[in-house]
Amino acid sequence: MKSPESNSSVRDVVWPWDHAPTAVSGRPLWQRVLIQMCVMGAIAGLFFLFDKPGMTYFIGGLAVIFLLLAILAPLAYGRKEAWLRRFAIWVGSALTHLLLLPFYWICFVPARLILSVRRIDPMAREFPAPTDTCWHAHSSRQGKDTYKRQYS
Amino acid sequence: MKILGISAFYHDSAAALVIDGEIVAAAQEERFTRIKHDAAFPSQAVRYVLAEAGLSGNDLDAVAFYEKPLTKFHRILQTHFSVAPRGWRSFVMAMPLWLKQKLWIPMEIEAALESCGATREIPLYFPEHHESHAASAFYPSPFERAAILTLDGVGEWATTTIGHGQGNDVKILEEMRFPHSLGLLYSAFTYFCGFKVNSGEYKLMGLAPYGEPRYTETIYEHLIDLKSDGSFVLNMEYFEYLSELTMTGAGFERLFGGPARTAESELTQREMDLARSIQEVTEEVVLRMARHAHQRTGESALCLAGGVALNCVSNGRLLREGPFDTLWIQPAAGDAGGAVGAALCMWHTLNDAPRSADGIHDSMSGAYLGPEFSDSDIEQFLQAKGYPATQMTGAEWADEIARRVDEQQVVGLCHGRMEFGPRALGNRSIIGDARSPQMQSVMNLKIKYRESFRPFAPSCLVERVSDYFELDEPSPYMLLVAQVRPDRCVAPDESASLRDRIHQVRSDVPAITHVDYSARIQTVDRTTNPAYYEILKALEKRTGEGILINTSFNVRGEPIVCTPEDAYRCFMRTEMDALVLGSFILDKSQQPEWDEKDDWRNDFQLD
Ligand SMILES: [Fe+2]
Repeated sequence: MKSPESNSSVRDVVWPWDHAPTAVSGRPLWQRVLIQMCVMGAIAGLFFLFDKPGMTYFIGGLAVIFLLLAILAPLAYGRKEAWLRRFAIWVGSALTHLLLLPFYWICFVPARLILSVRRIDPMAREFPAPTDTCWHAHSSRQGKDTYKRQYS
Repeated sequence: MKILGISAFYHDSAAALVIDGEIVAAAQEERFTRIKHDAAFPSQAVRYVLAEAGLSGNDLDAVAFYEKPLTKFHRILQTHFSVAPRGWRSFVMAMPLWLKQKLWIPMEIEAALESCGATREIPLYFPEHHESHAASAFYPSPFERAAILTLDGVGEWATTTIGHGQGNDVKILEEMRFPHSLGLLYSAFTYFCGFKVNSGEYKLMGLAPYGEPRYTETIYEHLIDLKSDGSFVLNMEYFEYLSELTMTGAGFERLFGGPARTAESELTQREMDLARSIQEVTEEVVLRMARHAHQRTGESALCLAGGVALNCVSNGRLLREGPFDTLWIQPAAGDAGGAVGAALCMWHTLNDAPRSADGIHDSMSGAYLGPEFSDSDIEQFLQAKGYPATQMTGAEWADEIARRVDEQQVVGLCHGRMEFGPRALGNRSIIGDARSPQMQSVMNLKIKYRESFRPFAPSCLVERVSDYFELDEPSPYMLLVAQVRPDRCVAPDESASLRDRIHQVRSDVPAITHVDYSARIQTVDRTTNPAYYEILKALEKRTGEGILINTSFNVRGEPIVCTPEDAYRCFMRTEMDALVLGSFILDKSQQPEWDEKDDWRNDFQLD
């Protein structure tokens, strides 16, 4: 068998086994900690402005704990970040579902009612089919520009 | 002109690169991410196809996405308008992904190209889903003119189309529309029999010969109103896929005497009979559609694409009984092939360039369109890792592999360019002796870790195909099923139990003879894959038989291996005896102990 020439760009893209693992993208630890401290400081400041000393101390205390964790145990801080990220995704997904569900009932259920009253079925579910054939003519394309559109 | 084709976000995402009408590279994303049927945007596949041609994003003239996302979105909204208040579950499941990604495909593509060095805007085109399938079926085919049939689950609205290809022009003439879909009908039975939708369909096809067509009449009576021209409507009272996250529900359970089989539970005669029945219905539908396509176009050749075109049993029947003299099936018939089709469609549409077809050779390069690795790259890897190997070249290399196969060893092959599409065609394959009565069980249980009923396919020398099978034409992509020649077969023991039937010796090539004496054939010719051809030739010289078992190089649930490193890992995890990496041959007994902390089977979800 004949061996191919080495295509280094393919090898680098597909099989970079001898390269050091790429660092996880994102900011360095100190920047991440700084951002978190600023955000928590701002929240604590808002509570202070609105005269909520309990919450101010709670948020401030948490910020101090996170700061110490980042300094003394950076690995544990990383784990905490990963956990918070998962939690945020879960909250985001729960919120999306909470918003989409009422939207579905408000928009789709009335639309279905209207379709039912007008006896329109976009899915053409009549069974058996009322026609001799179920083939439909395909609408032919009108010029190259139709390919630039994301819709037919 | 350099056109990048992309398919994504349903299953089997892929990228393909077409330069001046020639398919230069194509690969599925799953091979790089190691996630089976990966549907994510194919960033790594895009990077690979550009690297293969030594291009950066800026060198591209156009990008073609394989469908029209907004039309598809319209269909999804219409579906929910039609079923509300049911359907809310699938709505809240589907919408976040649409809102986050699928409605912003131009941005996704732009970001991927930026990461490949693009600093300017590349024109973006959107052919229709079935137009991409049709283009993938006709343009690379050997025919100057042909009828085209595309059959799948669903694209935007179309589920099946009949088209006509002439020269450099493809016209879609007729279509059937969602929810009436042959692909979804077959998937419903796949689901009901306890296999995964979009990946277990070929298991259902493999199960069919064990059953009787006991439910065929029930299917015609209750589920499908089939017209003489092959078009049909489904009785949606029995299907749940419009409104739920499942394919079937209580209606199916009533009709077929009980609940759907749960995954991994024991297969019963009911599932086998269901598999056989839906297979017969599918074949009948495809035959009628083909006759209609023949009438509409008057052509003598047919091109096929779409997921249903991977049903090689139905393809074999179409070739034997259909009105067409000849057939060409896109090897990446599923959605991955849409990437190739979209790029070719735009090449011919934008350039009106002439297309040459000689009636014999296709332009898929044997589907060897993926990455390959040089011997120097492999040698560096082996040395760095301390894996002992012997380098051989030419006839010595082929003889050594043939010797091992003859001595009942199971050999992994990772050489040359990786295959595009679902089939391993000799470059990322596991091979064994087709004459061995034990080899099917050994390979299923010790190498692939998969269900024991599943058959293996043969690779055979193209010039000897009719010595083994009732087929006298090439089947280079393993997409045709034919019977093993009767003079090679042994009469069945009808009284045997299912378990015994699986292990019965049915022919003098028992490892590739399915329970119904059929085989899913790959023919190998010297021009398309000289190295694999030489292995078969060496085996023929040694044993008199130019045939072997060819199964994909992976374990159950794992994508086919891509790199030598993937191959080595799979080799060490299983009970394979030898591994071929380029011109290097590795013996299992000489390898250092393989140490893995966790159970590697957890890495892959069972398919
Ligand atoms: Fe498709």
